[in-house]
Amino acid sequence: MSDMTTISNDNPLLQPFTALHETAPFDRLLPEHFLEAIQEAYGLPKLKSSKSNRWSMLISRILSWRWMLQDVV
Amino acid sequence: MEHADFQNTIVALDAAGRGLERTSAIFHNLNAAETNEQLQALAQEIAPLLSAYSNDILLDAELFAQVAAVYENPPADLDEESQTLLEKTYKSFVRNGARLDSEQKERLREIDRALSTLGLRFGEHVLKETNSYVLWLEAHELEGLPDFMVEAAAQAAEEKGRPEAYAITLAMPSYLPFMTYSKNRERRKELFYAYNTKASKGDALDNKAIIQEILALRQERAQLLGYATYADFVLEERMAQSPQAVLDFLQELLDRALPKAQAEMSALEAFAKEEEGIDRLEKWDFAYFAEKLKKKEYAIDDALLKPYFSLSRVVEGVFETAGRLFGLRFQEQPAIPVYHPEVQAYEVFDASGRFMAVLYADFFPRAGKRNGAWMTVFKGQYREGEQDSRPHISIVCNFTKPTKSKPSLLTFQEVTTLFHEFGHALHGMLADTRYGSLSGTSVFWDFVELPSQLLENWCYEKECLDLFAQHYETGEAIPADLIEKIRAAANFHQGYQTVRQVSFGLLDMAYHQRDAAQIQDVAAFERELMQPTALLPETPGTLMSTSFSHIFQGGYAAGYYSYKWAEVLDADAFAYFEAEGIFSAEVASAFQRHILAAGGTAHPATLYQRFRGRGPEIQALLKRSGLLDEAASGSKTGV
Repeated sequence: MSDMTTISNDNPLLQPFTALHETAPFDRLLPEHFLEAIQEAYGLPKLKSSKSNRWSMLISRILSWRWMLQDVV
Repeated sequence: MEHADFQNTIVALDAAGRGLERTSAIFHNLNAAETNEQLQALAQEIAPLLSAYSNDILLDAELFAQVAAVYENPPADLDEESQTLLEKTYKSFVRNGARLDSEQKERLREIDRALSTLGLRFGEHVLKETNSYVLWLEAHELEGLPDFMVEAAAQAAEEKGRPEAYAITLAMPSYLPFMTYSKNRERRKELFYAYNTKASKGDALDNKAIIQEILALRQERAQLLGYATYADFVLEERMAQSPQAVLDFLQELLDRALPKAQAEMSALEAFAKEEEGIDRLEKWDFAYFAEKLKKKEYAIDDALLKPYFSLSRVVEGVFETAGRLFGLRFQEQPAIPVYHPEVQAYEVFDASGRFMAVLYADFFPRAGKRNGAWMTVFKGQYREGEQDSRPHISIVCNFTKPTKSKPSLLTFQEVTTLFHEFGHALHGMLADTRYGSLSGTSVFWDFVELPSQLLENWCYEKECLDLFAQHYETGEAIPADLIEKIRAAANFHQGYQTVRQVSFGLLDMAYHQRDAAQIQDVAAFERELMQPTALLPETPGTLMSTSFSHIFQGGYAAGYYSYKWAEVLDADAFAYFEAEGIFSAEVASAFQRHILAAGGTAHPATLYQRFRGRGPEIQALLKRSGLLDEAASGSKTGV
């Protein structure tokens, strides 16, 4: 876990995967969790605070473009 | 900087960002199926953020240099799936502006940010318009409506605090049956206008200006990247490959279907005059008289069929169909958390008992759910070393709700919709690829409807219907003559239906091929484009573009033709099943291996060739639709 960011213990989207088939935590999820999780998953604070090893940073924070795939109807 | 190779760059990119992908998927899916003002406000904040993040990656010069280095000197021993991943990754960067200069890149970022919020606003306007309208009826205005419709309208009115009245809404399970059965022509007209003027009234929810902005930005984006039009940009990554191929395809269908459609409308007009003395058939008359004519010709209607299609039995039926074809078994799992009490979660296993997927099913309309039916993914499939991480798939529908006295009884169209969405779900659940970005429905957009449309074919087969179509009260199996009538009625108004779909496809292509600056008046543009395919009198003031969410909110821009394109594929594929037996293990296995499991690991033409042993042919669709006799035989276009 990064030492440059504070991880909310009560945000289920920020907890590490504990099981391969772990499902979405709808029972613990609040709307305010999303923004925090997206910012953390992207690793923006980490990137801003570090000028070194940029290549590794890019890979570690990479955004898959798959999220943009639309639903099929 | 470390040396870039296939593993540390291309595979690393594929595997990276899973946490973000998971969060984004949950958010996106909730915002579609169970939204509220808080989530919508959040979406306005998150969408541009994700767009900016995406551009940070795809426009990063160093990262692109690494990807390009691998692309230009690929390892000699890459297998087909890895070659596809490399090609797709490189193209993703290029198509997202990696080769642009810094000024152009900045402009691309601005465009993407704007497009992401415009699409959201478009959808929110449509949803608000849909939810805010109610047609209030009194008891004497219910003539013609079947019992299920009256009961649902009473229930909706009660929920809205007017138990003495009846409420009809613009949600499809309310709108469509009313337009189909109500004898009250004035009320049909009123509802028709409410439905067909959504987001076009010149108020804060009007989408016309948004459409113009979206089109201008899409065009600018395409031209920045070196394409003449947005359609050229989109179709480069489609099975169809070019706008001209799409136009040729749509034109061939139109040439074949238009004479048949015109004959159908003449017959319907004559029928309406004979039945109720209607001199001029209007759009709000079409569904009503079409249903009556269908009933007369085939002695069949939804009210007759619905008792055989209780939702629970249809769900069992689609599971059983998947079991017979692909050996799947579905087990409801109440321990899996869901986002609404109506949602059911299942664990899915294959014939050997191996866990294959989680499937969520969310069937009923709610205020926070957008219209229509769709399949989506909470978590995609991928392999990492020896571990196969299985997918979490969801199907979301807006089916007829249960009432106080009846379970949810589906119209036949809803039955085919469930099979359709389940076909998409199979594409997700049976995914078996190494790389997540090639998995499941991550295929070219005009190929993605093949599994869904293929599965609809089983709804017309006695051998399949016998598995589940039983009367919800008596348990009586659906009579054989009713099945014959369903089959016979399937081609009813196929000319009209084909022309309608083709007209939407042509409108979509025109929006994305014409110069956006020339589209000064969305209403006039739509009227001009739809006129050549119009089969019923114009209805001034109505507009479909402002609620055409497929192309302005969803992913079907320059892609609406995909539905007809995929029909060619599904008719041709099902002809193979018909020839070998609809539950043929051999054909199902080939379909699973070469299409469902393969996802986007190879070009769709290659995958289809492997499944079928040859390329797709249009003849099966023309035959199925009854369009073979309407023009000279022989296809002008290949698919």
